[in-house]
Amino acid sequence: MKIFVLVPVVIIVVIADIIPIIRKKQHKEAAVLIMLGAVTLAYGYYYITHEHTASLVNLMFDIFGSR
Amino acid sequence: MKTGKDKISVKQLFFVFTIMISSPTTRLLPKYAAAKAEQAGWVSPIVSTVPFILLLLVIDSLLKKYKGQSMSDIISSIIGKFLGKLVLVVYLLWALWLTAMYSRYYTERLTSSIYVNIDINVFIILALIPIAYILRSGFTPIARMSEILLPFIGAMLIMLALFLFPKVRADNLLPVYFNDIVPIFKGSISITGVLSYLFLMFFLSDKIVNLKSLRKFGYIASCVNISSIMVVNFIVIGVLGSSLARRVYMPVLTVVKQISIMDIIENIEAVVVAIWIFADFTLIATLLVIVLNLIKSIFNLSDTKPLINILAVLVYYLSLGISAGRFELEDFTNKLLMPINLTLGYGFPFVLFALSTLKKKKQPKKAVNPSR
Repeated sequence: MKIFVLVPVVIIVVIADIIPIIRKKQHKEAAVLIMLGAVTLAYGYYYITHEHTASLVNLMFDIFGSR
Repeated sequence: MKTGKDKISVKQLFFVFTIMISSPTTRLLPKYAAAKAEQAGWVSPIVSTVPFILLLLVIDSLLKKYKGQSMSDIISSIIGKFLGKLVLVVYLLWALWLTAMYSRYYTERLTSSIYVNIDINVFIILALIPIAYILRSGFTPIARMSEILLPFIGAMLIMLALFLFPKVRADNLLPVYFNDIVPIFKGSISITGVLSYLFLMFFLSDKIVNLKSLRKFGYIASCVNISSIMVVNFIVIGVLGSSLARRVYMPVLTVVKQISIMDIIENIEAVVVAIWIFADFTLIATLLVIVLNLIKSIFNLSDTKPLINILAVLVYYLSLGISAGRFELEDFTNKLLMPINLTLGYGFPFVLFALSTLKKKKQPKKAVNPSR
């Protein structure tokens, strides 16, 4: 259910910010904005689907092999 | 000193830095010092003075050698463009992690102290919306806010010291023997790690004017910060004792709750929590500005304002997903974050300084050949 909040929020924020920068022809900024939007969507989806089982801290512990 | 639009002075930078570290100072440092050095934990901040001043001198010499360049440009000039970008990505991830972590700590602190039954989402959203709004005006409002806020934090510290001094027990703080030297060094690791955020601040060096006075204000800031951390550790360990100080979740708040002056002045923890909120606000906002500046350097952008909102949404999800609870987060801070802080905050700047010195020595040889 939370995914129905995440997707519209990210889309609205990206569209609201991308319109003025495309008008100013700042295409590099627009590309970075879309990339950050995609990262937010991807991480938001991961968080929503793994809310009770995984955390970033656990991932870091696994990466560095310490607990 | 007068500063231009979106420019801050070195003095303002150190004001922001002092407020930034006041948040972890009151939450983490007394606990860590009490756990590692027991009754001698209050002495451990003195040890951190040496690496902090060395870091300050390294930053000063780098900025003097590469005049007018930001820290990102300096890194790229010293280690090359490709490696430089790679290092900047590492620093970006570190800054983003710290932003998410301190956002979570901020909400955990509020839900554990006053607002016990409130969902953490509320506090994260209530912090990130005003931060995203203020950052559209640049970093200057944050720096000016810090100038106003710092005297209040200083007054709070002095007030706490005065009110709690009668409750300090000498047997909680003494004896400190030669045997305590190793524990004192261990206890200073967290303080040294937190002070390493100074290097992150210099990713904003393109926004700073009057860098000539860096050393002067740096020495003053090191005296103020080290002495204030020492006072906090002294009061917490002195009042609670090391065994209790290391077990309580928020030792400073526990100590503040004990203040009672002739049964008239009581329950002043609300004032302390209010100041904590402003300190965390400054900390999260500054880290977000650093993240934006790093993104700007990595992708060679002309403007980062359009990225503020989406970054705030990302930080919201990161802060929720960073850990399942505060115990996990504290475990991470004590075991992994400290070495990461030391490596990125001290290790890399010193390597950078060594490389820049080597480069300096090689340059004259190259300059001699063309003239012949």
